[in-house]
Amino acid sequence: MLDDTIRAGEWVMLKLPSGNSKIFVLKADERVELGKFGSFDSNNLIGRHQLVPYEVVGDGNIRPVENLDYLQEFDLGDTEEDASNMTIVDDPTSQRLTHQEIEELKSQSLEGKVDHSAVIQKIVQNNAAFEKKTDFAKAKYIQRKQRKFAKIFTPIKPTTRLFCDFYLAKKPEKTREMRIDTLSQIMTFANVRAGSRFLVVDDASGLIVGAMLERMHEHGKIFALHDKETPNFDLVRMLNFSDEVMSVVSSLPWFHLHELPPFVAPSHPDALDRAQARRNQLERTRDDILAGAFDGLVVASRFDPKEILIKLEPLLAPSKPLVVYSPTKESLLEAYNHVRLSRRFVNTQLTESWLREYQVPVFNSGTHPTMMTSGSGGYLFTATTVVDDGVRIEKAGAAPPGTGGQTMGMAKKRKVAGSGSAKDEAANSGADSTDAGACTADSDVAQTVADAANVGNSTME
Amino acid sequence: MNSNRHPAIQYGDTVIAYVNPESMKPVEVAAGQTFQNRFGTFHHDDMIGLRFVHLLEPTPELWTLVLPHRTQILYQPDISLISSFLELQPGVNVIEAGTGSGSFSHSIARSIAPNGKLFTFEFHEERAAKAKLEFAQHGLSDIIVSQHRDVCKNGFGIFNSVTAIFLDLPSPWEALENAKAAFDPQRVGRICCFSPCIEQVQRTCETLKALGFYDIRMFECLVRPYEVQRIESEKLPLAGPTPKGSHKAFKRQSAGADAVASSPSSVLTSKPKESVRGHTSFLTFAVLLPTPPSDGAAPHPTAASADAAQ
Ligand SMILES: C[S@@+](CC[C@H](N)C(=O)[O-])C[C@H]1O[C@@H](n2cnc3c(N)ncnc32)[C@H](O)[C@@H]1O
Repeated sequence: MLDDTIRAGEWVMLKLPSGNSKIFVLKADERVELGKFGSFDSNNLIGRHQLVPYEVVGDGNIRPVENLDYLQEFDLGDTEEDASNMTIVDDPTSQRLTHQEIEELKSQSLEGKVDHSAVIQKIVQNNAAFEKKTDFAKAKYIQRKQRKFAKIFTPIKPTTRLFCDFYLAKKPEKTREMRIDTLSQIMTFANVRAGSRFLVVDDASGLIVGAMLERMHEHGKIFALHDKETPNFDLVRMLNFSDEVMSVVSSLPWFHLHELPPFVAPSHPDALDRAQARRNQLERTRDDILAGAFDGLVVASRFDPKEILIKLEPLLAPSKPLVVYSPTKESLLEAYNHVRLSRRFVNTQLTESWLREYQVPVFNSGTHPTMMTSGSGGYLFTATTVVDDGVRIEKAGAAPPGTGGQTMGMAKKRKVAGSGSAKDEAANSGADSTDAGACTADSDVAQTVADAANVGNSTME
Repeated sequence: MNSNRHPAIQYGDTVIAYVNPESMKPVEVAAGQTFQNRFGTFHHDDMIGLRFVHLLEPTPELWTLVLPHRTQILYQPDISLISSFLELQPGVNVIEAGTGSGSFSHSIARSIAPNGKLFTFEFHEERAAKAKLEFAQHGLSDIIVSQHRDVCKNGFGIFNSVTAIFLDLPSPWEALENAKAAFDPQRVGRICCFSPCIEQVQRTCETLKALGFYDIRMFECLVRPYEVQRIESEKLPLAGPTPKGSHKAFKRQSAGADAVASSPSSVLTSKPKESVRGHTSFLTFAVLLPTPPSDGAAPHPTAASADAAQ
């Protein structure tokens, strides 16, 4: 956090040009193995900056890569469809070095005897077709070679953004298939900021809790509910937070929310102290959670969101955000409908996240969306709590003068919108995502609308 | 939008009067004032001390939906992704140009509070003044420093000190050289340029590359909103021809007679909304790598000694 220096004792990810990566705790006085890309002494990395690509040189040394040009990611695609390929014959004889010579260069490079850029340069110089290639094709060619030969790695201090990308590609179930755009939206919708007090159900290995800590640091409180005796927040561990920041999080198993097990005092006095301290902590956490008045609730759980909401919605303060994530839309619909019809929520929305990356035009490479992309970023449903003051305004006639007629007018209009054309809907300024429910939930809609007027009701002469 | 606000409404507060997601309005609560919507006239004095009923506490996200538009503005999906890429968090120092309607500024301020600073620049005098006033009204003056200035001509007047820069300008490439100078050379600098047209992106990318920015990536980010509806599916009329009149009339008749037999099965359905935002802008991101320590040799702090040095 707020620091780009690599430190001993911290988690770090090393990204290799092959696309592989390695995540581990970097210790002083160790040899870090990069497989066929060689190895280096950890002390040579400690104290340096993250995100800088380094090259392994000689025996265990590293130095920042000088020419970053060819490390720029771009779409390699699978064909070389450039304008001048008419003159390029995919002819093995265009390479003047023999296979054996290339192999020799390769092994010299891997042993650290020659620089990788020297190897690539040699291969390029001896490729008769190279000069005929377009800039972009040249860049592609060099990048392919570099991925094969370069002993380059980039150290990165883990962030939840890194985890989103990493696990989406490698093990999506670990993070509930969360994509970075969706995680980012959860954080803004939930208004996560320093000083807030949050309730969270995070079955995404701690990705949500971690992202909240990144945005809160040591300011605030996060209470997390989980299903086992201890939470699985693997990813939080790897984010290198200080103890002070970690103390923002308290967690409680669901099965202790309503009932704590009877306290069995151990006989040994030392054990007793520890058991008592644990017990006190447990009781405190539970009491804090049940005290409610949370600034927001975020749910990314494998359990039924509707059941979770029915349990937890009373714990939210008024005018606070609710955000529920799922990789599948269907699993959210019942919960969404429940919230939409509830008098304790307004502003209910259901969205799917959509993200498209483009190849950027450096190397005259053209600008186009990448050939392969992630199909969906999952679904979010969001809402805002309001006070249900219990005031019910009956339909026609019972509403206070000046509101009733309009309220009903609106409900009628909504009904038209709900069963009518999309045009009507757009034209009706009252149209919102709850419209669709108008045919089945007319009275609820009317109440919600009437609620909006309640503030004024008491004052109207 | 400041986290120290009182939980109940006070004079001077901004609240969001909510009717439905498409109908919300900001109200600044002042003695003796009223505001109107289609339900009638409301006296501000009656709001004091209320918990937020359907007068909502303004969050940066709600503010984005109701703020007075003086320019094109940023919306929540873009704001979210940009905030993640720029790693906005408490204590980060950020530059933004132009301020425009202040949509993103409010969100940035929320993310970097309590100890970060946002330096925001706007060359349109009236807009700059209005934005400054709004930031003050929303209790953000401690975090946001707003300046009236042409950043393409005159730069930012800030050197070696921020880690995040956001440019929403017609020609962001004209500001990149000055932006580069504003980054803290000992930190990874992150920049985002926000441009609606692909031609702008191309010029931006070329300039970024020429100036030595690294890891240039470009995205488009949107959301697809859904409508949820419970649909009642009618039974196949296998029993014989429908009696005279519409299905509806038939249903009404039979509902009374034999509610169980004719009760339709219902299913919760969802479909994307008909007309949605299809493009906002392209988001171009890049990083500026820190300059290595001048002696070339890496220091070897352990976690403990580095903490002490901070
Ligand atoms: C699209 S608006 C920014 C909207 C803003 N991002 C928001 O979310 O509300 C662009 C703004 O940049 C300002 N601008 C354009 N060129 C500028 C320059 N050279 N220096 C400072 N501001 C500039 C314009 O006056 C305009 O208000």
